[in-house]
Amino acid sequence: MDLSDEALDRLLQAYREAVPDVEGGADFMPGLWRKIDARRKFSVRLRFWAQITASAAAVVCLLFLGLGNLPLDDRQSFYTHTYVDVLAEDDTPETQLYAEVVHVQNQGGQR
Amino acid sequence: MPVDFELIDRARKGDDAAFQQIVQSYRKRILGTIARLIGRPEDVEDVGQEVFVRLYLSLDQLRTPDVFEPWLYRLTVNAAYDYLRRQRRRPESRLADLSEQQVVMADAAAGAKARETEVYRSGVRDLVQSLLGQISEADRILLTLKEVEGLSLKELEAVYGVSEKVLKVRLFRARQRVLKAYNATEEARAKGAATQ
Repeated sequence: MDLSDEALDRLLQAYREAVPDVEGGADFMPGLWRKIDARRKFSVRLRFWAQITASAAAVVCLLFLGLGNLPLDDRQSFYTHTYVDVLAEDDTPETQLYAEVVHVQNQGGQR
Repeated sequence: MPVDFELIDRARKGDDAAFQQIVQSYRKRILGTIARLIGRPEDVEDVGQEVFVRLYLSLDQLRTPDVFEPWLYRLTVNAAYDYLRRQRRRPESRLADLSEQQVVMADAAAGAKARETEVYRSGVRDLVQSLLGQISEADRILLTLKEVEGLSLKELEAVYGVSEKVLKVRLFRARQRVLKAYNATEEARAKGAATQ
């Protein structure tokens, strides 16, 4: 037997009457306030920890900023000359030795 | 039972006594709606408290007190929806044998006045809840609000924030699904009876 639209309406209306409004028990309001307090405390705790985390993050950022600046100064004092200047001034014994060897070899080849 | 704007305004400003008065005014109606939406008397108070907790925490977001009722209904719909979804995730064989319920209901509907009213009502409750249990939570809630709670399309428009046209389409589909669920159950019952 198919259920018609009208029969469905009647059935749902009967359902409305079969499930009346309920008042709730005596513990409804105290229970509600307990839940509200618990949520309030939770959100206060959450806000507290969020602030702590944000402060810690800010401190870490500042720390890294400081650390990033320190070596930058060293680098500036270390690179005081250009690459060409350094090559021109490079007069170490190793370079001289290398130049002498090349010179001797060239002379030997001519012979 | 509508409460006056001044009370809502006071509650918005953090007056707990005003909030308590609002809860007292709407408690019966909201708990009744939840009872018909979720169909589990043992969980009605829990869901009802959840609705009022959400109301308390979101009152400061209410722009004007005249949208208070749709706002409260929206919170009710959301809490019922969350509850029904959780229930669906942990299925529980709560439904009694539907064919038996239908027999009880059919007997009562046929006018067997000798039957107790409570038996009839229990049959109606079980039948409707088993039918609503076979459609989606969203369809179930919308259909219940319109056909059982008697909310008008205008009111539903304010609750859902969609046009009447969209609501009509959704309602039509929800009704079709319930009718289909009923017919499928009937067919299964007829087959079961034939094989016995």
